[in-house]
Amino acid sequence: MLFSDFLSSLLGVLASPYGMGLAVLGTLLGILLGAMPGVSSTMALAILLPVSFTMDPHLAILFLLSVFVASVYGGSISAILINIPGTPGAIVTQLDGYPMAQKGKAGQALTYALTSSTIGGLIGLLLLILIAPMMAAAALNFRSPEFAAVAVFGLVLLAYASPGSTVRGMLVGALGLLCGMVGFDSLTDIPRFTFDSTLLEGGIDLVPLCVGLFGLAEVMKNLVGAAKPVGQTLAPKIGKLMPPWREMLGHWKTLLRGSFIGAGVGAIPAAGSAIAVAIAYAQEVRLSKRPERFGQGAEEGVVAPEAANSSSIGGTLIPMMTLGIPGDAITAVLMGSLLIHGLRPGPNLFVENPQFVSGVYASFFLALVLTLLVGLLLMRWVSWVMKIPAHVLLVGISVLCLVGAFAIRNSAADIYVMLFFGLLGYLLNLLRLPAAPLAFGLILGPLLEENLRRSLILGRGSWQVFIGSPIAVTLIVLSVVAIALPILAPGFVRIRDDVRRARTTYYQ
Amino acid sequence: MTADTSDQAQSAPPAPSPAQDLAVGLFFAVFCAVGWYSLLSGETLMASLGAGLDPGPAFLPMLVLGLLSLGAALILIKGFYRLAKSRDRDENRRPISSPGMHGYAMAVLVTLALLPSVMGWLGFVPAAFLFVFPWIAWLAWQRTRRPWRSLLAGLLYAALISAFLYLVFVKALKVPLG
Repeated sequence: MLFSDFLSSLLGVLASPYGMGLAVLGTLLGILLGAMPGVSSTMALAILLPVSFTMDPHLAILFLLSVFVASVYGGSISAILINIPGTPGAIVTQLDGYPMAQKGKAGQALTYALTSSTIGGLIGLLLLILIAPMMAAAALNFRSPEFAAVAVFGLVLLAYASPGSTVRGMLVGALGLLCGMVGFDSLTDIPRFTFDSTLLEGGIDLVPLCVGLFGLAEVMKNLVGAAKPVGQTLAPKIGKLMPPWREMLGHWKTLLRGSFIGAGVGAIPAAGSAIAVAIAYAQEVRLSKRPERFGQGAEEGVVAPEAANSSSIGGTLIPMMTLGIPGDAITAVLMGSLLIHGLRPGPNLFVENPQFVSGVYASFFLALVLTLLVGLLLMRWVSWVMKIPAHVLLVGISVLCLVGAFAIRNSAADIYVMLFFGLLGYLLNLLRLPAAPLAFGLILGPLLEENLRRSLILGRGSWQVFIGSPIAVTLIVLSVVAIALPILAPGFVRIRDDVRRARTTYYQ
Repeated sequence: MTADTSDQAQSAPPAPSPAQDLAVGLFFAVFCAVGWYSLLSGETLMASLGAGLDPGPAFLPMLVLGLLSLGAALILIKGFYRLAKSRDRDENRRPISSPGMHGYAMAVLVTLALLPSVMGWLGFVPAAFLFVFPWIAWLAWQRTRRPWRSLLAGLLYAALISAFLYLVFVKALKVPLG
């Protein structure tokens, strides 16, 4: 049943020239944008999100998944060629990719990155196909208290994994929750936080928020650097593309390890690809018979993180598709695309719209295959992307943000909302506060409020309704632990150090 | 644009200064003040509290604003405490960032805010051109100090970017832009 749905969705896309054209365009844009230093996968997806608004939901997700998957590989190109990761997930790839390029093996390093990305991505997809229906089936038994607890847990976990202090991340998440409450209340139609302005009555849409927060704010942050005189970026010669087959096939264990680590870590909400690649790399160093080769151009140092990076996509899609919790900032943007098409990810999506779910799997598969093909074709010429001056790119993206925000609903109000969140994202960066929890709050806010109020109605105003659910209690306890741990941990460390010092003094 | 991460790994960012704590506390406090004002001034909204089994549309905003206010207050108290306790005047005076670096960010924000009005008067393509041309020419001049070359680059890229956006959004996506 599952396999036949997947095949029919895949054949449906393959038979549509328009769909295939969009997938190829998305792949091309993803590779090029991902390869540009300073354009992360999140930013690439955020600025292209408005373009997908007029598309059919299946085609929109195909286009955006193509951009997403291709930008993940694209990020490794600049990491290997000029030692600057194009995306956060490529941070570790540069450690061995760049030394390989310096040794004249740039083409081989890119091939390792591309093939590992493809195979890792396929393993991630396989796990998504296997695990997501089971999780969705389990989540179908969830009622309002469980969903309210899931929303709280998701929000806490997403803030926990954001860079910087957890508490501050949570406070930014609370701001996101408040942003989600702007407009008319869905149950009573009473306006909230509208300040009698028609601009705010319709609420804050996720797309202008994402475009401002992940697109414009990044432009504002990087513009000062783009105005400084810089030397010409010299990419090394690509050289031979294909490594010896035997050598390539010899890395299968590394590839599998990286892929499973990536998918597993990616499935934890908020863990994200940057953590997955770091763990995959560290694991390879630990298991290697010659760990001293790492950092000097070891192929495993490219294979493991790239496999983990791509397989984490499948992982991050698991909580998004089954529970409606975005795995990271990129899936939050991807969720924005589904929401603007009236599709709310969650267990009900598997029951009410199984064709769409299998369409997501087929799109993901196609995006991986196209990334491999387009990536191989572009490999010799892709380094020219890095010659595009940063200031041209940033000015172009800033206009794209504005036009994109307008294009969603043809409303000037969305432009001002986007500009506001651009400024807010800039301020958050200035204050060293994570921006992503704001988007998480906006996404999870309605889920939390609807289910919290419904639970309290069911419980006749009593909070005991949560205590009656073991899942809700577990999730709430885990949330409290996640909040308390970073606050209490320094205290524990201090007490432990004091005890050790006291013991040392005593025994002396 | 993206910093070299190997350098980043070697040098961890400095711990937030007391001034930064105060700025963060103030940042959240401003949102709390605006939120509380809006919430408490909404008579219908406040009247919905506890009116039935449904806790009402004011319930979660109050809960979230309460937590946010508590967090903001704690960060402010921490900032003031560290400021009073610290004897390191240099650390206390350490600015959050150099003021000069924000000029570009604010300028791009203001010019973008003006763009919809200009689009209404002149149409999309001329307005986009008028936005892109001076920005690219100025930034190119800052980078190279070659005035003629910068002007030419500005003209060329402005024409290309405006044409690209026109083709994608106006022609292909049928977005009614001016």
